[in-house]
Amino acid sequence: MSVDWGEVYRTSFEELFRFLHRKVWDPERARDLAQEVFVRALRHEPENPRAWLFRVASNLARDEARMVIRRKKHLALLRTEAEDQGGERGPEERVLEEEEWEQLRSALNTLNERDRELLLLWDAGLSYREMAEVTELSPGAVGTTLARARRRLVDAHSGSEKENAARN
Amino acid sequence: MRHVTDGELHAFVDGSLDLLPDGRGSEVRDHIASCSVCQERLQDEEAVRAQAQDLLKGPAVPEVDLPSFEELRERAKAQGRPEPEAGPEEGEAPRYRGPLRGVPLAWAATIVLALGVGWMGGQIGSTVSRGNPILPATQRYEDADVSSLQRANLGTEPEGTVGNSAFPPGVATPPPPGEQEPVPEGAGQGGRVEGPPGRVDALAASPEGAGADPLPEAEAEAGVAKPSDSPASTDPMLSSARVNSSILLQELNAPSPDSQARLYSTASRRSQTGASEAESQIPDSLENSLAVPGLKVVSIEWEERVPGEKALLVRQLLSPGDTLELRYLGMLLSGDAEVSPLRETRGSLEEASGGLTYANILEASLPAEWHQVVMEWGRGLLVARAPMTEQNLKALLKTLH
Repeated sequence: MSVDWGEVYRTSFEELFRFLHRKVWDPERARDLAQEVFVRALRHEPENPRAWLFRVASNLARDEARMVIRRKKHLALLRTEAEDQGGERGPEERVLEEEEWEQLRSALNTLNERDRELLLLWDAGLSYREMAEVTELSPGAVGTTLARARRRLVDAHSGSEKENAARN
Repeated sequence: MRHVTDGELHAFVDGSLDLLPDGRGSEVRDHIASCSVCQERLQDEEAVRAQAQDLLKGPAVPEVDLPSFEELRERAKAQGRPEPEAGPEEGEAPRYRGPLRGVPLAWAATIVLALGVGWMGGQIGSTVSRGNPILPATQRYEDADVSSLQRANLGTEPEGTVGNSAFPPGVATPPPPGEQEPVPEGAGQGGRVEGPPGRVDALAASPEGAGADPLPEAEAEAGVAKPSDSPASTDPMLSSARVNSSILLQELNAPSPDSQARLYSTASRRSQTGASEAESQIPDSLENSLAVPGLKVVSIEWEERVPGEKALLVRQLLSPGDTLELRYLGMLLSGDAEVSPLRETRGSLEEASGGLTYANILEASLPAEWHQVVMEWGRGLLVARAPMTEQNLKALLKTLH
């Protein structure tokens, strides 16, 4: 059956973009990667288009993240981004947002790659079967692994909040 | 009373009871409705789920203009990507139409082995550098040391040579005897070797899994090459390597389509007289044609970092902890002697952007102190990566068949 990529785009592109943003933490790069994923998609006919999209996205983001780390520009990009986001929001609001992003990123970074991947796929709305296809876990293992990842994320975030409170 | 398992509880929380065996989903639902213990577990699980969901939603993603679908389609057209073709579905093995049809394939992945005019040959197309490597004195891969490095690695046992073979025994046999000639005696001394026109011998390829982890450290477990037990001068692998180097250098100096066919024919014939005593899982003809002679082959496997762009990854041991990675892109061919549809649609190398994009992705993940060399390889690309200088890597690649 031919894939209606237009429909897939309408139902999945934003989630794909969010997923990639939480991988590379750079909205413009995330958009570029999401575009690249879809441009490639247009010449394929996978059985499960959404799982295919996220699998490709995951691969591209993994390589992208390594490149960014090596070039040591990630933090600079975040700072530049914060400065560029102009007058609609006040400085306090921007600082607060940055802190929230940083907390989420730190909490995600405490997880292993598989847990992090599952959480982001779950956040993007993929089903157990789709997550299984992307991560190569069995569908039965997805639930337990995901539940554990959620708990670890919550614990990591609670832990960092307590640390911040103690410092302040 | 038997409570629901954690897995069943999680499936319930995430609305995935359809994954449970027939009837079990409704049993789980009924049990939770009537069991206070499981209800408490459910509430706890749901609370964690909700917290995680809130965290992940987080602050809004910074606004950027997202392209419309029509813009994406235009971009795809501009890049020359064809519309989806009729062919094997994702994950299915391509249909095999070659002379080995009917040969039972015990493994999901097999190799495409092509003999054809225009497949061999190479020209340094582009290179990527990554700074100046700091190599210990024992790992200085100077031009003169390339051959000594190869000699140091010769003589390893065929058994266990490949750590992750994708080749079942008995598959991908060399061309039929009728098309082979014994290697002339003068080959090792630099004479040109004449051979019959190439014939395409191909097997279906369907790698399982995609996105192989590119971390080179994973190959360190390949171990140390064993020293040769026989004198190097009589070692057939070394003799083979010398023949390879001699012929290749001549052909590189004066490349032509005929010479490329001869190169490949020579390589396949050499497999008949090669040193493989044991029933190696890797066909000799394949190793001889795709691997740098004299270096232990750690693994040969398919890699698919982006679905639709398959690369044949050959890993060879340079020294303990250091590997050479050779990725062949754009090699898939049908089993027939005629030019395959893939070749026809690929057109010129410039239009084969898939391979170049793959090379770019590889470049993006190049570890520190590694260098990458990209070569035109027949109608495809060879992307070579190793922890050595670009110059030394090129010197090493010259010894390829």
